[in-house]
Amino acid sequence: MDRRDDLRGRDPSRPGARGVSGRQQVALVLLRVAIGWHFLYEGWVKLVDPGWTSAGALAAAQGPLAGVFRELSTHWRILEVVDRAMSWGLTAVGLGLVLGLLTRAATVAAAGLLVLFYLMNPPVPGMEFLPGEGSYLIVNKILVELFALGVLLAFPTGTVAGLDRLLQGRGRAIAGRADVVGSERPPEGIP
Amino acid sequence: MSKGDEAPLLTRRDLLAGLATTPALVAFVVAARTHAAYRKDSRHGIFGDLLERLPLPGGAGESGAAPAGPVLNVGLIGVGYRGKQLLVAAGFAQPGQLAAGESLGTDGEAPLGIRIAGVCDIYQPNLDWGVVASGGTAVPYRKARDLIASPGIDAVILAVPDHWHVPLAVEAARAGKHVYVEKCFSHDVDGALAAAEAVKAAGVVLQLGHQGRQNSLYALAARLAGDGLLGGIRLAQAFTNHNGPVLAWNGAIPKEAGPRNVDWEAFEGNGATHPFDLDRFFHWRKYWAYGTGLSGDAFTHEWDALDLVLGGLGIPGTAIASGGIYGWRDGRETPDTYQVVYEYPERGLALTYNATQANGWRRDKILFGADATMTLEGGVRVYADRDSTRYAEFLKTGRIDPDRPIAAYLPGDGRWLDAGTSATQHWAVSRGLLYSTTPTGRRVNTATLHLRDWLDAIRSRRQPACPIDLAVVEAVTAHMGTLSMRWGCRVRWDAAARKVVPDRDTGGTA
Repeated sequence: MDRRDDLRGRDPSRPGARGVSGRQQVALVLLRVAIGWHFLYEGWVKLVDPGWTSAGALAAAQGPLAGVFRELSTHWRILEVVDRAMSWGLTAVGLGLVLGLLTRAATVAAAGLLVLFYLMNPPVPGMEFLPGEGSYLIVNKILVELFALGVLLAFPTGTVAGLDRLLQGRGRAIAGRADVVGSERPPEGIP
Repeated sequence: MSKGDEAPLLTRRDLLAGLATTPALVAFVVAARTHAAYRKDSRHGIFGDLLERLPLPGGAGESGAAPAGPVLNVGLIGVGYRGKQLLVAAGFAQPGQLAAGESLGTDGEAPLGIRIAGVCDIYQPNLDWGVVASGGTAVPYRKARDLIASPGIDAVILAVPDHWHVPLAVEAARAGKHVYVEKCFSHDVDGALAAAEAVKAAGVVLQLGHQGRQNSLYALAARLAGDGLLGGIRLAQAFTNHNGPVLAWNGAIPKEAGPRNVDWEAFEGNGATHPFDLDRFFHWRKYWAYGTGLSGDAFTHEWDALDLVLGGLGIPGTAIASGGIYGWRDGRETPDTYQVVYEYPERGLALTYNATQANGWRRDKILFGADATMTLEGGVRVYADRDSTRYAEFLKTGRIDPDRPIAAYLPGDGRWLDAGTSATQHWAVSRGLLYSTTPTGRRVNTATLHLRDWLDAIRSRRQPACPIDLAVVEAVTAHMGTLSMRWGCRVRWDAAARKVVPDRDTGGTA
């Protein structure tokens, strides 16, 4: 028996169940959709604004890696690539999280972007921050969002509520048919 | 074991769960579109379609092929601080000659289609530098007149002390050579008028070296101001704050310099007679015999930007100025502290300028309009005026906050943002109602663009960006301030006599 099965005691093969209650699943899915929405809008505003560029943000970078980010902002060819990767990357990641599509990859990519954003303006002692944004030391909203993504990686929800469930269902169906051909009944414990 | 495992096809429940979060995407699209429409309405209400019509600045240069037409043979007279910069801007310097972080102005751009056919300097190491930078194509000249007279030269760049601008420009024009001359255009008013006559008579193209005219920022600001976004502009302020020896005209004098490699007589020329003096030779800006003071040297840059943004200032009606030597009491003649007020009664505008060479604080140029205020320095920001009638409705409903820019443009220039923009400013712009944009354009050396404009003008027989008539306005404006300061009285432009004269008043008593 799969080790995960005993966490909840029923329907262990139900995709994504993994021993969390229905209420907990709803909470996790809401968290995923909210983070996805945030990424999606950050990507969207950059896509619809023809004048947007990451140059300003890169140039205003602080902290130990500021020099690297600033250097990027001064080469327009590199900047074009960064801009495109940023606007489309944020949008794609946002769509993935909202729709629960390729959820794991989207979660990892989102976390990667947040690491970059965190490093661009790390709230370490001695850094300056924008007024009205609040006060941070080491931990800021980016880091909290990053850790929330960590929770989503630990408790995947794409197959609870998301298009991944359809993909997986389809995969299972194909696998099932293959099994039907090969044997009388499908093997147990197909996830 | 559930039934689903035994029949591993998509169930109704799978379908519902699979699509459970899709409505969030629908909600997102509706919300984002609603928000975008609101912003567009706000923007349209304030600006009409102005912002849609505005070309985003940036990337003004073109990369690609060299210009059509024959290669022009250019001679550079004066390979000093500015002359070297112009050579680099034109794409001529050997790798070892570039300073750290410096690159050729033509890098990533189309070449200018010129050959440096001659260089001239009266300080031998500069002359040698120019020959090397040209790639060996330049013939070295010790006498400017010989370079100008050479049949192998089509056009000359004059990067010499101010007192030599007019004599060499006139000589070049008479020889049929096109001229790019550094500012200030002339050393005195009469010189500017005489040079204009000579240039026009010869039909050559003269470009005054105000490369700031190529700054796309000012073109954008001009469009904003020209479209009436600011309302009537009745007052403008400009400033120069410089600090440190180089900007206070006291840069290091090369150790190897001396009578053996400096042609002192050629430097003085123009009627001046002083004994050999390296301070005068290298720090000529400090002396009235050669330089034009803060007015000719620093103010003219600010004047140039304001002239562009305000759509042609013309010669002012009057000027009153004062100044003193307070920061650098090193025997200099030209004040290091200077202020001037120009009146333009015909267009209903006053322009004030204030400069110091003993402090480096950065001050924006400011244009004060009845409906909005524009600050201009590395970026453009427009703030609605609290008592504006144009924006009254928006101010009343709180859609415009007078403390935040209604329009802002910050070039995507890391170095500038680094030096001139605090996080607070970025924040203010990001919270500004609209149009906070950094273009994807690359940075282009404005001197390269200005040289290109001059060469294009020569090839296509058109007027360049800063032509002879504007050069005269620049020089007269600058000299009015200097004369007012030196005479100790307000001066006015006598248009009929084409002279600057003391503006003696009625002799009122207190």
